[in-house]
Amino acid sequence: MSDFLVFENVTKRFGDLAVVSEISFSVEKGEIFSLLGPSGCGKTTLLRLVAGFMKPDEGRILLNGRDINQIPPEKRPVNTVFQNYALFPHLTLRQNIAFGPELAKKLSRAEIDTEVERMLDLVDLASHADKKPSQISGGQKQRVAIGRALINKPEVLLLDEPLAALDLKLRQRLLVELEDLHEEVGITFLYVTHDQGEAMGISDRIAVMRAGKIEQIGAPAAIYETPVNSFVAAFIGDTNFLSGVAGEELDHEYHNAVLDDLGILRVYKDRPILQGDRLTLSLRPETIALSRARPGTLTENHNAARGVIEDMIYLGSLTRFRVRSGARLFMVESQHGRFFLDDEKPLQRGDQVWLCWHANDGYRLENFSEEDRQLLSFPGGKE
Amino acid sequence: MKSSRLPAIVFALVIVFLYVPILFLVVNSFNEARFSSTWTGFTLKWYAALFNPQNRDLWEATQRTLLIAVSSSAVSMILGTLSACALHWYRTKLQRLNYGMIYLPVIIPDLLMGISLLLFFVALGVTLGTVTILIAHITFCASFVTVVVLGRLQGFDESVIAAARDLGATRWVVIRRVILPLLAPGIVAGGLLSFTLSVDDYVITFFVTGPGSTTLPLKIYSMVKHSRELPLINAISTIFLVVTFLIVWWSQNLTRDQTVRSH
Repeated sequence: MSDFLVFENVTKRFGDLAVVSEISFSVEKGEIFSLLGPSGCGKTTLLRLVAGFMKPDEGRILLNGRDINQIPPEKRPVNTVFQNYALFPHLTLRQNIAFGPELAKKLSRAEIDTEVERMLDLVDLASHADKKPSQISGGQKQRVAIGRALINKPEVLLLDEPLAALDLKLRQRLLVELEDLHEEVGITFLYVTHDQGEAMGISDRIAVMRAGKIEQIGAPAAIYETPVNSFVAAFIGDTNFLSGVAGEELDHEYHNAVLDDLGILRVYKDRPILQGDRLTLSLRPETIALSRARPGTLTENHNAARGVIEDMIYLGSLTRFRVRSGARLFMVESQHGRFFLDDEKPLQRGDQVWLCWHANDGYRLENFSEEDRQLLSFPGGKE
Repeated sequence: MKSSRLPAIVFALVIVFLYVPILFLVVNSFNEARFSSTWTGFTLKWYAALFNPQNRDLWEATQRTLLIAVSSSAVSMILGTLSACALHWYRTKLQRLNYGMIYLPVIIPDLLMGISLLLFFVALGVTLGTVTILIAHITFCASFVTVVVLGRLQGFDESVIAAARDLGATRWVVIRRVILPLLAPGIVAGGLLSFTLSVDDYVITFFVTGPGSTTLPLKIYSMVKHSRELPLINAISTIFLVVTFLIVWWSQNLTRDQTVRSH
């Protein structure tokens, strides 16, 4: 294991409040590692601890095996891309990018100029090099900020919500550019964001944080498909929480369970279940299929329930339904077929439908907390 | 739609009260007549008279005034910038008191300021003269610079300091390469303000001046009493006007140049 950037029991307090409490994890060399969480979860504090703008109250941060706690920010081999860009308004883009190398005094003037030109090309700003930051757009500013940091060849590039101030299309485009850039320079990225889409899109691994602690670390798919608790499940994407009591064991893979308001359904057993255990499943909205008639091809490992479409939002690439089944509401996302060509009439509000899902798609959470429902788009799962 | 006449009236009033008197002064400096303001013919003799050896004290007063103005604004720029940074970045329990102390010289009547400084200097047994004038001018100019630089600091994006440190700048380099250049327009504006305040200060200077250290405003005022010398005042005022105009034009060009150059 190449543990490159290591956090050992790091705690940071502001007054009595521990914004970061006893956090330990490590980032590997060359990966894009994201810290994801709601505002106030301590992710930016962690970043600032690495940058050196703050010192941890307890614990150590090791970079390449070296304890960096006592090193002032200007001596650390890391560079930051700030959320609000923090470009020097009195300098041109060229001078902004040259700021780091000029201070480092490792290169001659001519070498610095060459490096700056190369960086301007890399971030695609060569034609604006002599403009001031006030004369370029937000997306361009962010590229200058990235170039200004990357030119110093940091061991870790710290990105503090670098795309948060940009509009959606630009954000998506820059995200791809960032990934290409990462491939080109091969520097370790520590990426802080509250936007799960951004984190999912760019990261090799994500640490989901809440209230100064890490809830789960894993690859984007692992976090999405196998969230450890209701917070992670609800924060990353949308989901349905189905609670109930475990019933009898069916075979070594499946178990029966009496789910609240739904009756006896089949549950996939990825970890041992004991009869009588209280359990909660996370069922992603896109794993549920809707149909007017009960599908005839259901295997015994499929679950089905009847419902009425209470609400629907057409979002273009998909439609989001709110389906009432007895006392509970399901959130369902479905990619509709060809709108004008399908024979079947599209589903309407008030239609009677069947909800079907494979037992394997319901992932059993280790912990469930009722208040995490508030993170969902339709928090009122039960009324 | 009927346009309002008000703008035209306001414009006329501004011209009449602000600029006609100045024009009057300029025209009169070229007037042959010594005592009346009726035009009797064009002359440059008042300008020539300025260079007459008997008017040497006028030049001495001018030199002293400029010396005091330049040095007091220079010192005020340094002190004012430091105090603005201190007020902005270091919050104390006495913050409101500190702000009040800085604003006091700006709002206090000159008369009070002059008398209190005089009493203070006398109590200390300091000989009144150029040095006391200089100290008095720095006292109020520094406050003006502080106020202007504080305004500049309000819009200061603190994250550029973090960015500079992150890119390898020590504290000293941050000050030299980031903070000072960003505050420079405010510091220069404060300095120019100090300069003009110092050059034409009469009341405070009147109290703290000593024998043989007359400044131009004091000199001009004493000359007004002898109407024989009125045309000389017109001439020297016109020269001042032209010089001031050139400085303003130049400084505006300087700031405009900065924004245009980067295109």
